Amino acid sequence: MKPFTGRIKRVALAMMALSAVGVSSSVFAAVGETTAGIDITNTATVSYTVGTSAQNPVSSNVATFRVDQKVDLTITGGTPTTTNPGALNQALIYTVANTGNGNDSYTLSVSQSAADNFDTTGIEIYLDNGDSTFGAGDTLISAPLPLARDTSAVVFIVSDIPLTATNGQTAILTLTGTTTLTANTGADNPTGLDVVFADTGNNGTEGDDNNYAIEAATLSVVKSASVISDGISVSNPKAIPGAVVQYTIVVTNTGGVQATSVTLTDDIPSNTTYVLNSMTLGGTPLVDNGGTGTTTGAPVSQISINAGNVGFAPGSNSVTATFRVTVN
Amino acid sequence: MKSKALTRFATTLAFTLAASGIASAAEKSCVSLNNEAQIEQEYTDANGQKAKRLVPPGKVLPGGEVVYTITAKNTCTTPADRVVVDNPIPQHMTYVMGSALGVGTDITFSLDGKTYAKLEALSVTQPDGKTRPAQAADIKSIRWTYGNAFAPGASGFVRFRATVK
Repeated sequence: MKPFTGRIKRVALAMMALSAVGVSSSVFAAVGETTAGIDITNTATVSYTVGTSAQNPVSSNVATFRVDQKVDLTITGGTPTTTNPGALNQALIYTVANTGNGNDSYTLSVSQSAADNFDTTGIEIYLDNGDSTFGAGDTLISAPLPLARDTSAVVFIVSDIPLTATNGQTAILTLTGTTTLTANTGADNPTGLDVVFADTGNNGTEGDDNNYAIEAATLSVVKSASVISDGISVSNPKAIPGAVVQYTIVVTNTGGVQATSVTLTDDIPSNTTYVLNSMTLGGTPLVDNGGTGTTTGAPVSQISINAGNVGFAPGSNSVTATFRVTVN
Repeated sequence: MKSKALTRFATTLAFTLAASGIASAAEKSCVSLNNEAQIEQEYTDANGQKAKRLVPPGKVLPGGEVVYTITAKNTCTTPADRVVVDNPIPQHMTYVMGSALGVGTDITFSLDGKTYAKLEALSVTQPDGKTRPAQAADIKSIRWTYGNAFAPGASGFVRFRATVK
């Protein structure tokens, strides 16, 4: 029961310290913990009497020990990066935090997963300049990354995506950090600074994954109808029997890669009749079953239009097709 | 007459010796106090049983528990009475509830290092004005008050545990 009581108290203290300094993240479990290298001293005093005379109080010797260094770090992969085949200098974001009770430096390394779809090339690690976005102001990391206790840094793995990657594939990269301190394996030293690995696995090494995702094309379809003519009113035609109605289908690629072999298929609504050879693609009239526009059934129950490729560049990322029906 | 005078002389001498004894006690104390920090270590004894022993505080990390043993010894030839041992909780440490012990002592605690009371009598006023029982982190000092005098040469120890914040 005794150690249990003490542990509860430590948690409470750590939480108080967290709120006091306004640290929002709970990653720093060590906040409020005594810093490595501090000497903790203890002195008792005794008072007594001899006969009826109070004597001068006596102090004990000073019992001293040194708080040792608890090596602990946390690496956290951030939001995966969506990218495209052949893209260069693509960044994956990670956070490296010193969660021990003393200053430390970490050697960072990158490993590629064998359980994903592709590997990236030209890997480098950069230290963020504070905006959490990879850019020109970031610094190439070529030496162990120093971090004071209770601090963290945002780092990026930057690499190139192979052209052979295809839609929907992922590449998983693991950022690993290893302390540059050496665990004390010799005799314990009450007055010296021992180093203890307190991280998961007690090996002074932690890591986490993040991944590149090759984005698939994302298509959205908007269909609208307008009455072209009703045989009665020219200015304001109504959808009365005999009226001609034009359906407009707009396909937009909101993804990051080109969509290929896009085919639009639509059923002719009931109580309407398809107007033969009324399909258009990009404003160009199509002959029924002439290769691009296809009809099914007689009377026609369905039309389909081969729209070919739909790019993703703004301004040229949509195609428009139309066809007409008459209201029965 | 002769023996009476001798007796009177002897009495005077004894009184003078006793007086000089007190005087020297004021300069050279009659109670020595030793303070030792240790940690508890689990080990396997000769019979293969797991046991615990106190060893020097080698590796101590935040959260680590330290056992303090304070030993008082009467180094004089006269009894030491009303022996009171005080130990402030060291900086960076938190007292472990229920860990203070001392055979033949009355143990009291202080939240300010000045006034001492039984733990159950201590409370803390919170910011909202309500009071709550004192907790481990509130305790600033421990006091052991011995009920009996220390005979010449006698010693006794008290002990408490604290964890590193």
